[in-house]
Amino acid sequence: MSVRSARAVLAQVLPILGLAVLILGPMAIAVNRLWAVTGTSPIIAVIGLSPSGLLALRTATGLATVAAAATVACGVPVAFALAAMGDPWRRRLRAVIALPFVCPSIVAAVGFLALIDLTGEVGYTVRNWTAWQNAGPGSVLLLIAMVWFNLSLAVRVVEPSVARADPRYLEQLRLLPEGKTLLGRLRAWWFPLLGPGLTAAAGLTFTFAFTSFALVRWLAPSALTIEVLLAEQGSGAGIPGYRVDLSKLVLGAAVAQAIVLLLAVSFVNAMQRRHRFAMDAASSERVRAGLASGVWGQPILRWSLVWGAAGFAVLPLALVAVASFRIRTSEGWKFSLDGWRRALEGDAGGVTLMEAFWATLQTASMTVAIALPAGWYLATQVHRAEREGRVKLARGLAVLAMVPLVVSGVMVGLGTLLGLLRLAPGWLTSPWLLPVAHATLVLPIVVRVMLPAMRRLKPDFEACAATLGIGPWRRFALVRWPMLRPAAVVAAGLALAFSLGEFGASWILVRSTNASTLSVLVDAWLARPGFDPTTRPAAMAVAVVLGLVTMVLMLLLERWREDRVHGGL
Amino acid sequence: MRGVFMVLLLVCAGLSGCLSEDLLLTEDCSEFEATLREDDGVLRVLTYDIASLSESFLQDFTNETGIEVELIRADDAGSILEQVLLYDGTPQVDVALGLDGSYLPFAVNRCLIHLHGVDLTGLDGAVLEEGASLTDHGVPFDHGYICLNVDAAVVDEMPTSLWNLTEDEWTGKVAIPSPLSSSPGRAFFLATLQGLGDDAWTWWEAMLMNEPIITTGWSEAYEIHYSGGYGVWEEGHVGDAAATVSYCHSPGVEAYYSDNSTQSTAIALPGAVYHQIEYGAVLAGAANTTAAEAFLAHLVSPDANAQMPYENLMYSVLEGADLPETNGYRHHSLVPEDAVAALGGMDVATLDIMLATFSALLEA
Repeated sequence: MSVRSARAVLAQVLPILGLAVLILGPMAIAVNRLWAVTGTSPIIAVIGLSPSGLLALRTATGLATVAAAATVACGVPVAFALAAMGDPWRRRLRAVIALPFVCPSIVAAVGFLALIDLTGEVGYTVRNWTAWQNAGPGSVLLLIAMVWFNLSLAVRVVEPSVARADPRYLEQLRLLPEGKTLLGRLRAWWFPLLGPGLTAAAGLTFTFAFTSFALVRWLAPSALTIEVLLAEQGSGAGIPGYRVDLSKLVLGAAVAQAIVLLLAVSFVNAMQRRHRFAMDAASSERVRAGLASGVWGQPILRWSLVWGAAGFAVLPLALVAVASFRIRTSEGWKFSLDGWRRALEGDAGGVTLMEAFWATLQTASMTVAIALPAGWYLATQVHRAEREGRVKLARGLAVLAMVPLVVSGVMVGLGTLLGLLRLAPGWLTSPWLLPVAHATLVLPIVVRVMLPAMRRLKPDFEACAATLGIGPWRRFALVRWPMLRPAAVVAAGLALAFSLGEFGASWILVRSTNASTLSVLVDAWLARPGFDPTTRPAAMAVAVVLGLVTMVLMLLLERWREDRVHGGL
Repeated sequence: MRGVFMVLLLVCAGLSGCLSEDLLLTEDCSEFEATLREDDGVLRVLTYDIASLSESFLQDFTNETGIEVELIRADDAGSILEQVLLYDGTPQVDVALGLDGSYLPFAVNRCLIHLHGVDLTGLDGAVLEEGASLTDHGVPFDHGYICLNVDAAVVDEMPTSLWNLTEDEWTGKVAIPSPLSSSPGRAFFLATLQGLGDDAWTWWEAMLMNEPIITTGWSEAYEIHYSGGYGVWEEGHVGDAAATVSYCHSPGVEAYYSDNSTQSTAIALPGAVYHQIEYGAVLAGAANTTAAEAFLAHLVSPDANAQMPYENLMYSVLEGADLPETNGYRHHSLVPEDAVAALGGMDVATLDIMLATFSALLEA
């Protein structure tokens, strides 16, 4: 390791410190305030969690575990069928199956409700199914929606590995004693190939399901999970001498949530490090030929699975559109544009559909503008520390980057409010507040996408360019950027989708700003008493626009990624 | 690295007022000094989603006065209060709009409200009388009564006392928004405490034994669980409750939007009726109190306030105002007598204890 100048060290440390303050600051402030208000330390608060807090913890963990297992179970066959398919349909259908993952959760929630409503008797029967008693009616529907949401996680992990795995390995394995039985082949080939990736996908599904808010709130209203508890009751926490029991509950619940998520995220990290794409990528023709020799050679099975998954992905979204035109009358239903008219005129707090549309786009692009450079930078630092063998630093940075996944939005909202009131109250009305919050929350995902790409990037290319006398900026433009662009595009897309659909933190922060996003507007219309028959269709209309904006942007991004993924060097 | 994090935590902790001296309440408001919000030429109003603040209402106000208004949306009355309490005298808004008689006292008690100078003549006498303890601080802008709503299509015999609801035939069939998180829920809770007197807690214990559906907010109780309202038409309806807590004029609103037909009935059981008055209040530390008062005066001006039944589904506070007769709006609405108002004779600290007791009872 070369001796580095103090300036270089400072240049590396200062931005990291800034990020650390941004990420850890609000949390520390919130914990400290709750501690002072309740006189209870976080550890005592979590040990003495009240019965309703414990129930919420159990329900959330149970639902998330079942959702993770079901997602993997459904995702694997779809991924195999997809891998056995030829382009261009493979690419197109994969993009469609990926749509739910970036779909704003509140749109998904109303989509499933619309699905139940339009399927009549069958729908209502499913609606009243209960996974177990405390989860309440709608919990089976909620689990279906969670699988719907995360299916593409499992598919995306499995499909590329399968689609590039050279079938000759498997053929050779069949000749060996270990490969005679399916179990043996699973153990010797499929599990090492897919296991870590799948468990990582399951871990991520667990994380998302555990923190799901809009889905639980609307699909299983009786289910009390930690996230619902914190989001719906957390606004009263941290006020001295006011509802101290609530502050204690919030503190304990937030700490319990952080512990569970920390475990889940560390598990995902460990698994992701072990996940490798198939060695020696084989040509797609050969892979398909290999897959076609087995059960996946049946076109009916292949097509019905993939088309089924794609249809399932689109259905709830399409039904939101239908519901936006459906208005109840005293005799039954009629189709009309009244809901759209109301949403466009906008009397939900004076916010019109178009105002929220532009505000959302603005927030989302600002989020990407912050999150992508910050995430890129953080990933670079982690990668650099790894390369330089500074294990502790690398691990510390990786943990720092994961903190936002773990911390409750309620704590971030409370901490931000209190911190800014002390330091710079004017910033509470700044248009940057919401994008900064979104960027902080999406940072772990950006880092998670960028880091593996950086690890795969061979340092030889840059070294080679440097020997050719190419300067750092041109090296970035000619070598680093083209090679990292696919990952950067994915990261930008996820940040964009996150910001467009983000609901929990916006919901909390919007209390102090006048920013109104489409997600918040959907909720505002939904939460308004629905005596007026046009209220609900107005919510649906806003949801349609939100869904469409997200889908269109994602499809564009997907195209851009695909077109260039084999380009560059 | 760990050292750096520890330093960070300490630095950040210092910003939130770690020591309890910061957290003590001021007893005497003359000693309390709010930090003035910097005037940026925009009147900022913290409110929940109040429908009457339509685009045209705000535009009219701006045209008349030249004052620009910006709305900051909390999700309900409770969140408005909590936001104001968290500001704790460093308000980032000028007006809090939508705190009712059971929430406003908490802010008044902490000296967070500026005494307004809005002229209240021409407002309903009963509203001014029942809200007398609060009208110096808040401008009443709409009101209504809280009642039990019962689905007449499924209930053969209407309950005549709250105790009926603790009987077997009502097991699992009453939806109550929680007094901890919902303002109609809190109103109902105050009505029972005052109306049932010493028996109130016995009733709540018996009621909670009878498996009621306790929801976080009004919408969930009325829309998802109550079988007698418009919720039956909405996606996601469960419909397992034959009675819920809502407004005494909710059946009227149902009828108004459904060509004069509704199966929902409001009943005024003793100990279950509350008179809810909603207020707009200027915060101590507001940037421009004159503009804030002009806004509140506009809200109670005859033209604007007469629209309340249509736009906000509440009674206007104007003298002699009533609900419109259109489509049976007035016909299906009940005006109860002997309603509990404000804190029902309690003080803020007692209510806080009562809520904690309720919370403990719920946990048990």
